[in-house]
Amino acid sequence: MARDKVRISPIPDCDHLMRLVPHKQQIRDPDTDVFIGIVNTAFSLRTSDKGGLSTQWVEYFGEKSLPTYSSAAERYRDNLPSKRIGSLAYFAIGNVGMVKLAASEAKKRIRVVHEPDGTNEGHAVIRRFTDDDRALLDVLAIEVFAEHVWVGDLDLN
Amino acid sequence: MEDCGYGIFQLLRVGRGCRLFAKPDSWSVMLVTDSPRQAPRPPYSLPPIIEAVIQIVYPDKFAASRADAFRSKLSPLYDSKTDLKQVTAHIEPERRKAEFQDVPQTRFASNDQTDAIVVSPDGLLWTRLAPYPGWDVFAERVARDLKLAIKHLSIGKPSRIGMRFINRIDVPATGDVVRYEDYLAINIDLPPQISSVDNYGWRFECPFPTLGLRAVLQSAVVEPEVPSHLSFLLDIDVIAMNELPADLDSMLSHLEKMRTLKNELFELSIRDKAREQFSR
Amino acid sequence: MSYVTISPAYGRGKTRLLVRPSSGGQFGLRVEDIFKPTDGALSDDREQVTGNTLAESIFESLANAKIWTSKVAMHMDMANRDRFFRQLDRLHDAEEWMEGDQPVQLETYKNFIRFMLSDGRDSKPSLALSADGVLTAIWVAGTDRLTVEFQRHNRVSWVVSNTIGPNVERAAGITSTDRLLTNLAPYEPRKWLATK
Repeated sequence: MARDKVRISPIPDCDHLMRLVPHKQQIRDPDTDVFIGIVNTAFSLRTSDKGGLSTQWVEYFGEKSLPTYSSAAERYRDNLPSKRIGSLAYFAIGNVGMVKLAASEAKKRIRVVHEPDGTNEGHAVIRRFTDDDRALLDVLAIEVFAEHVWVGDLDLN
Repeated sequence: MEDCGYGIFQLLRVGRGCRLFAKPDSWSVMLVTDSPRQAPRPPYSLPPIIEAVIQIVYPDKFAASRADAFRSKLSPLYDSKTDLKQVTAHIEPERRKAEFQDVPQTRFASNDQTDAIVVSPDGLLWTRLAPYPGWDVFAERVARDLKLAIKHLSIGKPSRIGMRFINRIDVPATGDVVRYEDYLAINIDLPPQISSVDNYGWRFECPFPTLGLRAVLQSAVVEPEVPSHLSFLLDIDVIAMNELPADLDSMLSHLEKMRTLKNELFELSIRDKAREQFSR
Repeated sequence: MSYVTISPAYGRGKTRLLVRPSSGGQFGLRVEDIFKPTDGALSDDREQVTGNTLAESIFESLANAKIWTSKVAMHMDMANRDRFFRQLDRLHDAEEWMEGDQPVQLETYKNFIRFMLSDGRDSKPSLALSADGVLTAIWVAGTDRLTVEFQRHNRVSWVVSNTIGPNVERAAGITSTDRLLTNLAPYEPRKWLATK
């Protein structure tokens, strides 16, 4: 069941976030190009990030599952100017509580808030986030956002 | 008993750079010096060529339709095509006047950018970047493209053929001073009061009238690209402007002749210490 | 004002050339003028007609990186060079491009290659690209990872994560490229950098 739609409000620690990881920010085998993981720079702030680290709130779209990931990815894609995501892209999924714990250990006081963006009602932002601490980005890439889903495995309309 | 080069003798003693032999059934001895180690000779396993260029210029511009036809034939032979323009400026500072002229060109290149041809309104220019695969490979591509050019551009005798090989000699930077004179045989004769310089450059032109060729040689210190090395450029440009052929086979023979001169000038310009860098 | 005395090859006498550092070239030769073309010589003063399209911008950046690589190709294993080029091509796939992304910055690529010519020679990193075109190299040894961002001006930003039992030990730093190996010394860099 989808969460009640409340604008700019904290997201519970038990819920999850999805972050798009384009092909160029993945770790791939240098010879075969097989996916290995994600680079810590996938959590560097991009021009498309909206005042913080942009993600999708998974539970906004339903219970944590592949169909829910698909809905979240679709809404994210449709809100992009290009309306497309590369076929080699991945989404990295992490728990909100673990994000806050990792940031706290790096002496950063962040807020994870639900903040709809245009037609993307399930948009979430990690506010007060800065990307200067590479060790924190590394924790996010390896330990927090440890679940990876390939867009090819999602059912995107 | 050992063959000393003059026959089989008894080896008595091995010294530094020499061996002492005794002839059997004889009181005489013979001291044989060892041959000095030969420096490497071409072809070198690591040629220092960073860019090889062949340019053919024609007295008249190619007809536009023929140039288009030629470019369409070249296109499948290369991986990419880029439009360029060569900008030349004529500046008269005292009149505060500047005029610019754009010459459109098309550059075709391989995916790794090492093989390229630039088509100008009146000329063709082939380049090969490092790693240099050898003359045969470079010449084969030039011959292939030139055959197409002669067929589709309907061209006659060129007005100029140029062949330029730019070499970069990278020397490990050990110590405070690297003597470029140890690597290059053409040097600047400084007075003894000037023991070292931070930078140098020289350039000269010389005619080879019996060959109908002219050569321009240049050298200078350049910013090193490889860590912990110092670098010198040796640039050899051979130019032909007289009695140039029009047909393919004669053109290729002419290029061979130019290449022979280029190679001779290169070997004359370097010392064995440089040769050792090309054969590590 | 300084001068260099040059003796022609045949030793017929000395020619004195006046070298003026700020010369406009009118009264003498500067060292950087030595390689200017003259009549009959080959020239290299072409300018690329760069369009505004994304594809053209990506192509130009890739081409510049590959052309620069040729300047050190004689010091490089060709298999390594080809692998770097394949990875660069994949990182610049227009189908995977995100809005606002920049192609590889040439200076960061040069920084990476120079490292690979020296301390990284025996290794095979994965390559990644940040949104602003900074090249990152990642070495993975089991669960241990070394991530190095090759920035401009010979600077690198590095992160090490080593799994020791149930814990992950992590360290990070910023240094110059030639001091990277020294900085990594406490973390057994050989497991990443000496794999061949």
